[in-house]
Amino acid sequence: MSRRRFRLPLLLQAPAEPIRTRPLRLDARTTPARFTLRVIFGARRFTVPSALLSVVHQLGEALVPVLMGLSIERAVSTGDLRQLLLWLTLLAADFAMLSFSWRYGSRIGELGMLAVQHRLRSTITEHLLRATPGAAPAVPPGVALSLATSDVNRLSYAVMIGIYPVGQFAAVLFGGAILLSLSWPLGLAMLLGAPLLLWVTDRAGGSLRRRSGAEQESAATAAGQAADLMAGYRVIRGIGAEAEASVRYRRASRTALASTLHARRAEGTFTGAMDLVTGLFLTAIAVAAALVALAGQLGLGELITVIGLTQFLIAPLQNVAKTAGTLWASGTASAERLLTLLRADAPAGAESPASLDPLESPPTGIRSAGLLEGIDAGEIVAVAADGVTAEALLAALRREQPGALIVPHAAHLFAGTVLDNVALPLVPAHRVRAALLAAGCDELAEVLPHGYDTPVGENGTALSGGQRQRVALARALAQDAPVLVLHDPTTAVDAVTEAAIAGRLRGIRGQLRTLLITRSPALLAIADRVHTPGDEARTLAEAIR
Amino acid sequence: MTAASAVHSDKLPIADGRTVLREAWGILGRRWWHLVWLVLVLVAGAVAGIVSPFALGAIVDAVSAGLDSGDASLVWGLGALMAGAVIVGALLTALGVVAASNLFETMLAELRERMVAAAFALPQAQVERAGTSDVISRAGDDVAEVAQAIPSVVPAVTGAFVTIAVTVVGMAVIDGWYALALVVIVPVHVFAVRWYLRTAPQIYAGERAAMAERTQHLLDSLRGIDSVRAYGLGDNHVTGIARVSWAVVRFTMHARAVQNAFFARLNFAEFLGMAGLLIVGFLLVGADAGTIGGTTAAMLLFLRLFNPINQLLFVVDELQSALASLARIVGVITASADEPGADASASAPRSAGAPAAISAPPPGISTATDDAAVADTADITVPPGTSTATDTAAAAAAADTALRIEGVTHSYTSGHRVLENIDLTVRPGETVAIVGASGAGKSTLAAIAAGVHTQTAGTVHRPGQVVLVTQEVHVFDTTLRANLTFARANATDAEVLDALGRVGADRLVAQLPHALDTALGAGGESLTPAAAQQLALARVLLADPAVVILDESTAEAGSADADQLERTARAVGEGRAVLLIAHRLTQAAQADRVIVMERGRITEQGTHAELLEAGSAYARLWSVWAENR
Repeated sequence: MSRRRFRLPLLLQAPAEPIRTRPLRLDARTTPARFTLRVIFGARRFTVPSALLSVVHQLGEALVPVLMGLSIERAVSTGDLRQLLLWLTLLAADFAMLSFSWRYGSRIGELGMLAVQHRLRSTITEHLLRATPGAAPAVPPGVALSLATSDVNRLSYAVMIGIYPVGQFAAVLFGGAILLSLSWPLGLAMLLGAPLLLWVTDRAGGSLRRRSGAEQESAATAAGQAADLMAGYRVIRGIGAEAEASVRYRRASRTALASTLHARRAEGTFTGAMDLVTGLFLTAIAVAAALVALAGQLGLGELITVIGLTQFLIAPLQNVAKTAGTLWASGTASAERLLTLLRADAPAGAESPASLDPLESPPTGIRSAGLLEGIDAGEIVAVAADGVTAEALLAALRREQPGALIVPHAAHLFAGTVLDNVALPLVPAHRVRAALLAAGCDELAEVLPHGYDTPVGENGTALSGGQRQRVALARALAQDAPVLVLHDPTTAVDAVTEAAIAGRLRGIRGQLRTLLITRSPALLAIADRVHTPGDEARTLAEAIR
Repeated sequence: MTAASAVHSDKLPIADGRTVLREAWGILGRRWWHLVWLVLVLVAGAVAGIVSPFALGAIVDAVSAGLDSGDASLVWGLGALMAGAVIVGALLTALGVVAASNLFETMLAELRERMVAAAFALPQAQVERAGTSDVISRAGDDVAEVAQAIPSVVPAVTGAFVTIAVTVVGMAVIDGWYALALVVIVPVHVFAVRWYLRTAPQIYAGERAAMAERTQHLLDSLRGIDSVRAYGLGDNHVTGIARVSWAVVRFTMHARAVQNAFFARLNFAEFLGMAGLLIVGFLLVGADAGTIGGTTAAMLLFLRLFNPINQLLFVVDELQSALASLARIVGVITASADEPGADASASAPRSAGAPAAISAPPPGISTATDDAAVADTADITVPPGTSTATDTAAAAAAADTALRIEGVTHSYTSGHRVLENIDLTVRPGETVAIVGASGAGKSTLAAIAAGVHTQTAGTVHRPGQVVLVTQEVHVFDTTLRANLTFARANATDAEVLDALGRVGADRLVAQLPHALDTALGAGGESLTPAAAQQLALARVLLADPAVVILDESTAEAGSADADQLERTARAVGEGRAVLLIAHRLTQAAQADRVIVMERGRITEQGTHAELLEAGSAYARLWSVWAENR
């Protein structure tokens, strides 16, 4: 591939740094519709030129059948070579115009849309991630992801409403004007009849499309279930249920197939019906035009132009409303979801969504107030609590102690290496090494293929449960947090390693304050004081004093 | 699994083009009448489609000839012909959509089902070497990719080829020169497509990779939102996401530019085609060899080709990625066929006898080596007569019903031994706990005992079905009942409820809105890790195996949950041979025998009491633990 051929298309590319677009103003009175409108006009210096070029492109497309009719009439039927050259030149000019206007118009529009999209995405991720510690994630990760990707995408596509439907509308106006000038009855029939017919077909096809949509949804569900079955691959092999799993996959696959075929049948019917209506309409116009021409009121070239133009105009007529309507509907729906997120101030303490836990017992109400303040410098205090009591205590500490570093027992590891996870910004290297040793990670350096430079995988899935937990502990210990709360930091760690970790904890924490919430004997053994939930009211009261 | 097994990625094979074609043809061949029907419908539809341009050409001729004669009946007749062709064409369009999806959707369904069956028939070690995510993504992403491509690619490809062929024939019918004028533009299309295929795929692949990275970054931050906030990493992550998000924009714009350039080339071909037809028309009409109507018909036919050609070229990259996915799907199917031994061992993966085919040594010697091995490798020697009081005869009787691991050595990569000469027997009704530091080889031993990996040397005798439960739980996207009946397909509700009761999940059932019919997993109620692990244990009860291997199966739960799960696990193990990888010493204390492992070897073994008495490393661990109970 030569560089030279590549130069032209590389015009108008995205710069290395994000393009800045107008900030999207939002206040209490912003409705989804107004939000969508602001998005549409969010990058006017891109959308306005793009819309103009889109108009030029559509006019060029509409001119193709006109030029075809005229060149047949003026050149082919006369045998005049100069006329042929003239019309070929005009045709070339028209193609150049429609091609280049599309090429750069669509690209400018895309760039503007993407710039707005990037701005939207940044706004959403900032809102999701920059909240203060202790504030709760209001939405589960899957939902948040879909807001930051699908919804942001759909809302940003609304930018296109300001571009393509404008061009399509221009094409309809231009084509209609030509038809009216050639023969006003034919023009009227086209401009009034075609939209009416399309509207009627669209209405009639509504139930077909709904059916197809419903079938597609159930096909997607069945396909999802089939894929989910494979996600449990190890569980199935572990229990020896390979045969049963294959049978079930087949069943889900057949359900998906049946739904898909039903959906296609509905689509096929709809496509056929649309073809039928537009085909008959075009035939009627052509016959009418021929009769008008036979009556001598329409020239030969004009007849060809009418036939070609009506054929061309069907597409923009069909799309002008559909494109804008679809983009607007999905855009405002996404705008509503994003607005809900941006407005919601995460309610504190709502972080543990009610889950079904058969082992749950009612909380025993441990008092968190003053608990951390009661810890002396260099002291390790333990609360021998677990289950719901521990969760309730953690929730309370998160609420009341935004300054403390609170580490849950199953902390998330970020993609990257072991070292990336522990050596966070501002943590000195010697501290990282000490923390890795204290958390019992020294063994990882030998076991893992690239030692501390081994990628931990998504959420640490390349590590075993025990390895994950130790890396998370090392990360917390490396922080030098004045107050550190560790919840069950070693549940997945074997007894041998746990004992080693317990032995090193005091050394690494030095004069800093540490609270352990655990029932692990090895950890309780090294605590200076232990509160047990049974008499926590008394003990804690003492501890606070 | 240990990290070691995930590191060496021997990906599952990807089928080459010829194999994909053979598999597809194998399925299509069995439905050849569907294929014939589809081709007939498409050709008939395309023929119906060119009736109108022909008729319009005739009308133009009639008008140009008959402006004075004013004969309208011919126009009416041609109108009726066109209307008839429109009706037939619309009907055939609908039929074609249905016939094409019938054929290709069924083909995809068959392929994916065969792939899944093949994936379950492969030796698990092979799948583990490739990473289970490989087979999971083939069943998920690749199947979805093909499924998504079918509705756009199939009509575009089939429709375009037939329409182009029929239209060119149609033009040749008007006059061979018109068809020849079209031949001129073929090189332009060929060049455009070749350029596009050379340039576009890597840009699209880059765009997709950038999108995947964006999703990964987003998910990573969102899942770890508590950690992001706790460690003050918000700005860091927002900046990181903005960076990968803009990287997608740059790829998208690059892709757009390439697509635009491609379309410009197509526009150029369109112009050349129209100009060529005009010139041919000019010459033919000038030479009285053709009519204006003929030129009009040829040009109208050509205008009708714009869409099919563009559609065909537009789906080229979608077609390519669908074919790539298809190759990955077929790869799994052929992978199982490639390994003749695979089917035999997989059909009865953990049944009695299969691995024991390596003849077991005589019973007397077996016991002797057992004891010798203990003496060899153990730091302490268990007082004889206390734990291994069984005489040779009893051992022989137990041999057939016990899980016996003899002289097993294993390494994932040559040179680095994870297990070294392990001898271990677990008799029915006996629970043996393995204690050791991380990396001692506990999980590898569990995986080998369960038949996930095949040992490098030594023998494993499995007396019947072996079930392995690890920390990895998966709640299937189906009802509670169906989640459990994996283990026994014909289990009655009473049996399912009984199993749930025995693992202490009756409260869970009571909490669920529709009891056994409640949807769980991705599309239903979510469970805590502890509850999910209870389901896993209930599955074991339903499977009713001779041997249960529990690999830290309670590790993900909090400590309160762990107590309960340990009790449950003991109940599940009753009457079976249980090999328990224990990470909590309470589990070890209640086992019949404790084995301490260090660096792939057994260093201590005996009952809990014996080991305490001997003052071993285990005893030191226990004293710390017990002091704070």
